[in-house]
Amino acid sequence: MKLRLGRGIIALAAVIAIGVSTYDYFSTATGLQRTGGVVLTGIAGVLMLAAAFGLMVRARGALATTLRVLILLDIIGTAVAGYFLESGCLMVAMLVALLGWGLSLCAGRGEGK
Amino acid sequence: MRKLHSAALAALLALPSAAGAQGDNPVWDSFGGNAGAQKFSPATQITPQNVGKLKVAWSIHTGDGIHTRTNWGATPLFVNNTVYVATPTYRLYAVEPDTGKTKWVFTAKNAGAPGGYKSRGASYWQAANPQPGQPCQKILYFGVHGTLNAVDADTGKACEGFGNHGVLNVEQWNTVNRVWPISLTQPPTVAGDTLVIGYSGVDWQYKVATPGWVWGVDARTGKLKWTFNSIPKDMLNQTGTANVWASMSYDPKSGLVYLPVSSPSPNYYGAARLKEMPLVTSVTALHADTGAVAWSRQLVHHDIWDLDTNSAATLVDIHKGGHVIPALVQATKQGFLFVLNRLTGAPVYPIEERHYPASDVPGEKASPTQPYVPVPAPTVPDRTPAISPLADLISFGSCSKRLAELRDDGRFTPPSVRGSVAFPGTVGGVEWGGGAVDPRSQTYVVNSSLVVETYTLIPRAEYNALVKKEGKAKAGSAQAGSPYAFKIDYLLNKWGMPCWTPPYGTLSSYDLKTGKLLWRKPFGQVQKWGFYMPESWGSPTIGAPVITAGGLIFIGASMDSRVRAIDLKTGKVLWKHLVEAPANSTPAVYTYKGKQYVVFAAGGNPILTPRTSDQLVAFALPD
Repeated sequence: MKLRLGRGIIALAAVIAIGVSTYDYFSTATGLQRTGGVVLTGIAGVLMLAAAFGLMVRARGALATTLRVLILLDIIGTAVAGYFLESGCLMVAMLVALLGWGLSLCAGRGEGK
Repeated sequence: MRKLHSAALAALLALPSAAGAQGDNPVWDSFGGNAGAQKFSPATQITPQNVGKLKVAWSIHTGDGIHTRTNWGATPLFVNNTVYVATPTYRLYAVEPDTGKTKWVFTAKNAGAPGGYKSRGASYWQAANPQPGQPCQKILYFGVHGTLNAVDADTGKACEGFGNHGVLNVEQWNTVNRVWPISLTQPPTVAGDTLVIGYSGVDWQYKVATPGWVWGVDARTGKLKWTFNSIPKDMLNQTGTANVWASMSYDPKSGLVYLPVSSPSPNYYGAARLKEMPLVTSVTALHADTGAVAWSRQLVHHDIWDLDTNSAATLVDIHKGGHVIPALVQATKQGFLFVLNRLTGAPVYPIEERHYPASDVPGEKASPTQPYVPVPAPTVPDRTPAISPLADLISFGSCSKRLAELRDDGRFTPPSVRGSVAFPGTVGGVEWGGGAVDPRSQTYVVNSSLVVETYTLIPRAEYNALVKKEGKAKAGSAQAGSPYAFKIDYLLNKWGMPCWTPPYGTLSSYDLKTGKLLWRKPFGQVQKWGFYMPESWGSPTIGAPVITAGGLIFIGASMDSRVRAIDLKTGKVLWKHLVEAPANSTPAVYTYKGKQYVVFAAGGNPILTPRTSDQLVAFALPD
């Protein structure tokens, strides 16, 4: 249950990151229109979403561990990018993703036992 | 009471504008706010206490945004109870001051092929006693390539009696050493009933080029009254330019107009122009009715750095030692603030002649001394900033290696074949916006960039080979006719990060009564790929501040697309707001129907960052 919730939260956060990045890229109201930074966070969001789906397919083993590490790096990187882009939404989304990642990690360990 | 206070301040403190006041509403009728380029508003409604509540009152798009390379440095004008602004695609907008609703749009018929899509706005003149019902008693002027358009401010129709059906062909006077057509990017300066017209050119392409003409024409008809040229006749076969491409200021009391005269061609190699030319790279005062020189002060001797005098002198009366000195402050690319008596050119604060290094390029003789202004303290330090450890580290030492290859003797290091450090370089220092002054306290505020450039002279044969290999655009500036071409670069690492330690831009405040620096703060934020750098780094700036009697500074100018309000006393940022592109222009401040507005042309400038827009946006306190 926790595992599913964790993966779901990560996927949701990734979708939010993609949405925010897309909006930032096209809107003239954000100061980020057509910038490489939001392209980067958008791609990071897509990768995070893919990794979250990967965890749904394979919850245990080396691949799952690798995906969890990659998701953590993605969360940290996107949060840092969000900080320098001065995008509060991105940072909040990554905080949510981190929560999901923590849940997924706990659940993964539990299932491992 | 507040209105009365504003009107009284306008009448007592600010220099007269071309149009005077309109009821209780002081006008903002020229590039520098008023004739003296003070950029000061007597408005007091917006204060440090309530500026945090400032909201967008209206915002419009002029339609110029479809072009990605526009360069919009226009100061919006508020006069005739209307806001006027000229745009980079050669249109003139008249809008309601409180709603932004368009009254009329004038489109220049002679726009022709796209030029640089560049505009620094329009200027305004009105007859001393406008006759009701008669056309063109109030006229707006703006440049289109080498022509000047005159438009009736009431109706938006061309003034038929000006030039040829409202278009004055200024290019017709570009007859000596014409190697390119002139461009009237900067609107003319209105000096009584005379329009004083300078031009923009390209002084790095040819050794001999169009000389520094300035024309005085009749404001009603466009008829030529006088011509000024900064270059001695016997030097016309060796050089050119030394033109006036920036705005000018005017003192109605003395009738003097102050010209920021730029550097001669070719910019960076002067072996053929060693003879003294006292009017080039100077501030020169002319009698506006005759064009005769009243006085002139050279600010760089034998300029081989492109250190154009690039902004209008700010006129202010300084109360000092029990006397009132009619003064001007001429800010420069070097970051110097020349404070001079505007009637005589005599320095108010001492100007030193300091020794600087010799050139090592054959034929070139750099001036052994240059004017140096210790007070007020320069906006730019004398030594090149240290290499940034971060920039050096992430580029594996490329910054240090590059610096070691270059010649760096501090200020006025002559250009060289091996490459020289230029700090401040051709972008300044202080750019074409210049500073603002509060005439009540004689507080002067100015933004300044701290940018390290490299200047490299390229022997002609080597340049020709480069052109064949890489094309003209990459090879550098030709300086055709001289033995050296030239290349200018920013000192950046391989990732595009500046190699020098921040700040990259500052805002400074001075007390002109004593010459003392009151405060200096990093200003603005660099934004690269969308990422904002720390505020302590500041940003290079293009555009200028304005001061209000309410105790605030309003300024765009930075690389990030934000406009800011700053406490005049402390330099603290009290309010900032995102606009659609950097507001690389000078804002206008006005009061209309009892409400104070601050309006910015947020158009961007590709020199700073690629983002451009066509947004004209006004801010006011909510009802």
